[in-house]
Amino acid sequence: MTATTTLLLKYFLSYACLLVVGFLTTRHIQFILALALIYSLVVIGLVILIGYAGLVSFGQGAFYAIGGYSVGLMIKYFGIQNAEILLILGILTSTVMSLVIGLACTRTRRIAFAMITLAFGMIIYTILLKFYRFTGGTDGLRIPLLKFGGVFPVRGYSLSLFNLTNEYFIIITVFIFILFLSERFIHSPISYTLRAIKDAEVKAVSLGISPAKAYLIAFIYAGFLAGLAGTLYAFLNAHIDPNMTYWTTSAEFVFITILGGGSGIPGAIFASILFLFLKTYLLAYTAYYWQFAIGIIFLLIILLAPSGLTGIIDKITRSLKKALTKS
Amino acid sequence: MLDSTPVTMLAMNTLIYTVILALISVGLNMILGILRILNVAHGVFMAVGAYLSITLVRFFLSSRLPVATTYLALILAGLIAGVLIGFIIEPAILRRIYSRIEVHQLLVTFALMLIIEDLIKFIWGPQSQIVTEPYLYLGVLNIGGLSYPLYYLFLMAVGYLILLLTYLILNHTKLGKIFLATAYDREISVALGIDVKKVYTYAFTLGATLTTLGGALMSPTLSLQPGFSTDYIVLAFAVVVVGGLGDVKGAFIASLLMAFARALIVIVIPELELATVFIIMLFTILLRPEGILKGRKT
Repeated sequence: MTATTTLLLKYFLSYACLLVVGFLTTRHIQFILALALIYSLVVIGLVILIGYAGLVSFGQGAFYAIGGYSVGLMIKYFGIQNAEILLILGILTSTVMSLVIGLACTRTRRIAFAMITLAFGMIIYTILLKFYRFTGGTDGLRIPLLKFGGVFPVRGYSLSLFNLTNEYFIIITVFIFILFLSERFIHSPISYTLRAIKDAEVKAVSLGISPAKAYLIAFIYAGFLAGLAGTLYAFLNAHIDPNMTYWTTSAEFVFITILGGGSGIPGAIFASILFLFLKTYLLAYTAYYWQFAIGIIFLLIILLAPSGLTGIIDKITRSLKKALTKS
Repeated sequence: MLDSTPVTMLAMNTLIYTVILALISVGLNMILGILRILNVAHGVFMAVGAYLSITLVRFFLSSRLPVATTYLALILAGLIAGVLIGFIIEPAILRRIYSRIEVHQLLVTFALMLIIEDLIKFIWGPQSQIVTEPYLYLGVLNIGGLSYPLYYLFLMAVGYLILLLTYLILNHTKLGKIFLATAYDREISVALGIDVKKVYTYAFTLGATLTTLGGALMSPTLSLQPGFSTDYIVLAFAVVVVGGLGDVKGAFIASLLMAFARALIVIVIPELELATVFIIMLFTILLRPEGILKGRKT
């Protein structure tokens, strides 16, 4: 079997697994899973920024909100109801915005980068909040039931395949495509360039590498992913609000990234799913105290296992292998 | 006669807002300068000071002490909260992460923020809390055609006094010199026989106390709700960036600048009130990454 067929088989199997989960689970579970996959899109972008480029963005919520609000505002002001047009517009707007914002942000490093991305996120937040006549203010915007190609609603049960909902189907389909794209990105020359710069910027520059260009490409890719995630969130949740770009949302994304280990795509997906299920069920059982539990879990992980969930899983599989070879 | 009302309003708002911003961000910047940690939980420390002061004021009032003594309760609560936070959190948690990468340090303090926020909800409940006795007791003052609650004068007097004391501690005492030495070069300080562990605990406690005092002084003017401090911490980040990371004097000057900009823009374009702070922050990072007091980027 060639490498390409193995790779294709891997995506095909992942897609099949996600579909089967959709057949068998309730709408509620599918909603949480779909939301987790949306989060993981943002987090994959952050893995590239933090893990590969060494840039910690505290403003990823900005692009998440830009994706969401470009859907909301296009509906409000231009009456567009086609989901495919809105999806493309959401991606375009957030990609263009990430180019513009990225040109400014990628001139900085380390703490300054974290602070400038935070500033951009908060500027967009205050604009969405204060110009309420245009943006709906704290109430946000309601998203009506949109349709793909005029026939396939973004939410509902028009597939009649067991319990599979439209929203879950749409999101896993986009997700598998992005998974493929992101693995290509991680194995592309640009990602090796990023790692070279992260390890030794001076040496990389002397070899003729341009850090500015590499950083900008990584920033735009991460912005594109967050924008796409925001667009899908608008479809899934039927409602968007300015909290999408409040600094705690952006910090939450970084939090999940580090929870997953911050170095690979599987960790990002795993951490997003764990985070959202924890949040949903802790919220249901403890009402006010889910942040407390999440905070404690995170403290324990970072203090005892700095490489996050990926590290913990690695450790378990390694000790299992050891135990198996011994016996 | 010339109408001086807008000018008086601008001046008063600037002065009040400066002292509040400075109390939060001077401590934040001191911790950043000495411990090299950007403390995301700094805002929630302010909330702890505010909530504790409400409890102490209520206790004073219920033990039939005169309202005048509640001002003492405010300051006492701020001090207690700061010292408690400082001596628990630095040795128990922060000490374990000094050698970690920046993003881990940021997120540990973020996790602390989440934990303390929910502890506040657990202790004081999710509903909003108001104690206005110290605020109403002082009455109002008429200046320049505006009536200002006298409480704000008390807040400013105490607030600026605390900032002055901090300045004196940092610049004219042995402890201040030790802080400066540790911030400048940790290894050489150790070689000179400075107990860096102790210095870190003291510096963190002093920084935390400034913000808890700020929260305590503000509490009578606010309706306290869980999560109210998340807005203040990002404002403090902006101040710290504009003043220069780790620069205590810069943080005060940046507080003044931000307070003035905000007071001015509120009169002209109220919608941009909050955005102004972050726009100034943005341009400072781009044009003067070392803070406004330092030279231009070369």
